[in-house]
Amino acid sequence: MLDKVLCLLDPDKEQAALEYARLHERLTRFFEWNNANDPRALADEALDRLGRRGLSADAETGVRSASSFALGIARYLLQEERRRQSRDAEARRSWAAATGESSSAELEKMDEAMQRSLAKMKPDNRKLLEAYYRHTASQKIKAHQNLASEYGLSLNALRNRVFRLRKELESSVRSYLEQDS
Amino acid sequence: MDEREVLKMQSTDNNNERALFLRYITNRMDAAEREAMENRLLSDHEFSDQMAACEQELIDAYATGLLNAAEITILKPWIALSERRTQRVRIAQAFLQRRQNRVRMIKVWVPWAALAACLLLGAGLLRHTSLRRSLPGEVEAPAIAPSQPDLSSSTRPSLKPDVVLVVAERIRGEQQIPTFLIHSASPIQLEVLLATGLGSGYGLKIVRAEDSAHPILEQSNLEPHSVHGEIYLSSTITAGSLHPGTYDVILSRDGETHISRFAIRWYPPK
Repeated sequence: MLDKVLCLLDPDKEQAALEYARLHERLTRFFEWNNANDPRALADEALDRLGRRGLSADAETGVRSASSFALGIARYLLQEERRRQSRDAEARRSWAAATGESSSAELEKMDEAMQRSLAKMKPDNRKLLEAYYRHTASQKIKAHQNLASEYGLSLNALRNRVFRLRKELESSVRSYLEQDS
Repeated sequence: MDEREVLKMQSTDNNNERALFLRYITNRMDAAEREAMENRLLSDHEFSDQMAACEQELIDAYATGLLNAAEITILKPWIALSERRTQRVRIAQAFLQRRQNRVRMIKVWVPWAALAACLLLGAGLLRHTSLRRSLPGEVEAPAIAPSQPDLSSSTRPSLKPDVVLVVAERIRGEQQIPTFLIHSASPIQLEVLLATGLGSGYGLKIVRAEDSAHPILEQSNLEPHSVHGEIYLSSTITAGSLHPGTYDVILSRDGETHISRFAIRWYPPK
């Protein structure tokens, strides 16, 4: 099944593997932004269904654009998800219950996880994160432009690199929090 | 295109992206626009990255209270819908508050370090000058007990005041108490760095840490002043008023009180 999806994405295996990961990420975001409960699992499911569709497609009705086809599948899965959610009263908890004041023990745990995650990062990456978030709103754009030229990047590329580092940091914090719970 | 225009464009681009993302997640697009948006999200990875970065910036702004009221109204229920998002808000808070604390620490410590360097330099110069001037056979002044200072026999009186700089802010938990080395015969220039911005009509009290009932100094209606963008409240304390020990500066205004603790030591007599 995976081979079929890869074939749909690119004739070159390496490129196909790369595009598979990227499409999975885009699907995950699509589900996340549309409030699915488990975006990653739904992205897996969408790619599975894409592979099955690829297997059954003949030359005439074959999948021309994998991403467009994946979107169709994703929308269908989202409809199913919404029906499931509407049956599930728990899915709509109140803001207060979801974000109630954290206890000091939780804050301590979070702080410790953050410290450990920052310490684990490569020094260059940590330095970039610190530099990016050092400035207040009024100086931010100018400071980011200076930082981008220092790193030889466009502003958008810098923003994306920092965003990836934040994701890495967040995922590390999550895993420490899960270990401790 | 000059630099200002580039910055303006960047800012406008970011605002447009943010508006677009907010419209998408809150379902305020018509069917055609939504269709186009989703097609692009699934086919253009760079665009998907940009929207994800935009989402992170919104979460950061939400976590640090930097959104406007309209954006909060829109974003709050969307964040509440997902446990993962609420956790992301907490992680962003932990990360960004940590950064702000570090920046604040740097802001606080730089003037202190500069002050300490000046004091050391001043003390070094004084010592150098007095060594050069002392005559052979001159008798050194007797040492004095710190608890019973004899101003006339302590270090040579200095016309310049010694500076004591403390920071007025609400700090939870245990604080580090800064210690200032001063000349017993010099007046003290107290500088209180205000972390909460400019205002007027401050009340200031200095008390011994172990005896807050009897103020050593009490002043009212003090006006702060600005130095290089930082706001300070200044007061001069007469020489010999503060003996070695630990003190609290109690600052009050409009029912709010800030307490900063510091310790005093005297330069040993020559």
